[in-house]
Amino acid sequence: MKENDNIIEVRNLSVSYGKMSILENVNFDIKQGEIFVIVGGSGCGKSTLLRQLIGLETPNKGSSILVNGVELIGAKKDARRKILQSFGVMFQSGGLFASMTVGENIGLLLESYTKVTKKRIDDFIDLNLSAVGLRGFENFIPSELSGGMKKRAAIARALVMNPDILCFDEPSSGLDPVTAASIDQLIKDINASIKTTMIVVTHDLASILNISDSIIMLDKSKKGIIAKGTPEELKNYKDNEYVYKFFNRIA
Amino acid sequence: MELKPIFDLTLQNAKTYNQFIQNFKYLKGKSAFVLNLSEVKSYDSFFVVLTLAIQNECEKLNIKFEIINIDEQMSHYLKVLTPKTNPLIISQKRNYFIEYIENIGKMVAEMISDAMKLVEFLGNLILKLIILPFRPTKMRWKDFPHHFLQAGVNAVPITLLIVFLIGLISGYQGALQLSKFGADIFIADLIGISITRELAPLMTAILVAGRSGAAFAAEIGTMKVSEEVDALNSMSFDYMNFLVLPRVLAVVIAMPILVLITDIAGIAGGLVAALSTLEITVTGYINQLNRAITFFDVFTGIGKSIFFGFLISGIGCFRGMQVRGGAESVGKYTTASVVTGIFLIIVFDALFTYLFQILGI
Repeated sequence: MKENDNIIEVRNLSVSYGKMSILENVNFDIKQGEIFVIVGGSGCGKSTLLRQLIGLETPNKGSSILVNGVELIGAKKDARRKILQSFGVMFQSGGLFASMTVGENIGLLLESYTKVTKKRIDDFIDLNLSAVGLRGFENFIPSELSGGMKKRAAIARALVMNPDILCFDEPSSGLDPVTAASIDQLIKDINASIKTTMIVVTHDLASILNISDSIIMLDKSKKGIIAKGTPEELKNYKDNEYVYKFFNRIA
Repeated sequence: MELKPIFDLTLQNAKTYNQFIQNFKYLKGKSAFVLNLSEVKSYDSFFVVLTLAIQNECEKLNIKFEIINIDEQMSHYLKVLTPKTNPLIISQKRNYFIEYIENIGKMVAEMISDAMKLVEFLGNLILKLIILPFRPTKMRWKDFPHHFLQAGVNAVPITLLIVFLIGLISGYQGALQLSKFGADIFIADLIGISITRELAPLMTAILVAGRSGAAFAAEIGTMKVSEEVDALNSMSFDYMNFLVLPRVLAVVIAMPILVLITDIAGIAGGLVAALSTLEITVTGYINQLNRAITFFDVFTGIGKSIFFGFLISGIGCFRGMQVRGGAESVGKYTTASVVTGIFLIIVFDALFTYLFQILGI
């Protein structure tokens, strides 16, 4: 089915809430194994775009999202579930279930979707927690963790089903620069070691320049992509003043 | 005309502002107005407001306005704080009457669409409940005991007490009237039927709506705010099976049990009232009760309570799922869950009473 190394192909994606149009005719490809960053100012629809990709919302008619060569939009329930299980998602605030321990949060997917026995589940929890540097925290509840630890635990949960694609919504928001950098490093390490494709939504410039392989930049007034390319290309982008300002941090 | 303030142009001296602006009209006919700032030592945002007001008044009266002896720092301060017209905001004359009518229309439209969404949600929930016996593993049973404990077992003391007191109150009121006719013994009929058919299911439902309906809305609402519901969906878990069904089932099972227990409490309350005001015995009361209440009286009460339990918990979860944004929204929908819950319970209770009356049950 697949003719190239694109893991995701988005064509003609449009999103609107009621009469308000958020995104119009967005097209881009995400290559297998790259760290793909979606950037843009506040309210430009970058989180909305991510929500379409991971199936939390359905875009307008005529939109197409191919994941591993399979169409997500309009897929039947079981096929859709199968496609969506190739995504692991870390939400902005972690999205850990507050009523469960960190271990239960991570084990939940294994318990529900696999036939792994209880003893083995503990092994998987231990493995994934140590991958994000939180070994020994499985009996903590999320409210006992700091912001950075919550995000790490959320990454561990996103990793547990060995997804093809890992998505991060604002991984550095609400973190101090050192903790944010350590999360960036974790994203890079996971990408380097298990070659998972990463989609990162952020507006943290330091983080963008540090981790990205390729970038698309969205704009509120154009309701779509105003620039795409590598970080180097966008830093020297001369066609659009706003893009240049954004990547060189000029007012 | 020259003004040379010798006091600080700070918020502490803001009371001079009104006097000054009011007296401005006497300057009519003057050709120029000069603000001399040579004596001003200290200033803050009040200085900017004052200057802009003077400028505004001068423009109205066609007076030339000039500021002299302004130092560089002050002039910079003035420049930074002077409001710039925002191109995004186009000032429009508002017609409050039309807006008022519009708002009424919007509210009605919102209520209708809200009601339709609620019906859709409850319909979906009924479907899931019907499927459940055939596919019991779909529901998350792990949470069920916790919710049953919270909504059912922990509600026993308070519902017992409330319905006991309701029985006591209606017993006293009834006794007062019945003793006038010498119909003392019929207190058992009065209490027995009103408690089992109406008061026990209704009071229990109202209490559970306040306890569990609100709790469900707040729990699920908070989960929405903290992206837990998004996380659930992204993991392909169905929120209905995961969050809603365990809660609804817990309340639907707990309600009839609660009502059975509170039936007894209410009748006991009536007995206490009867014994203390009327000349009847415990045996007499119970014998009369035995004649007065049929199986159907208790059964209709319990049947209603199952339906009420479904409504309360369904509405609680529905309101929780409506939460968008932050903490304020959680509060709003928690309140809404209790209001909608109690409102619908009473509406349906009235409907049931009417129906049973017609059907002669």
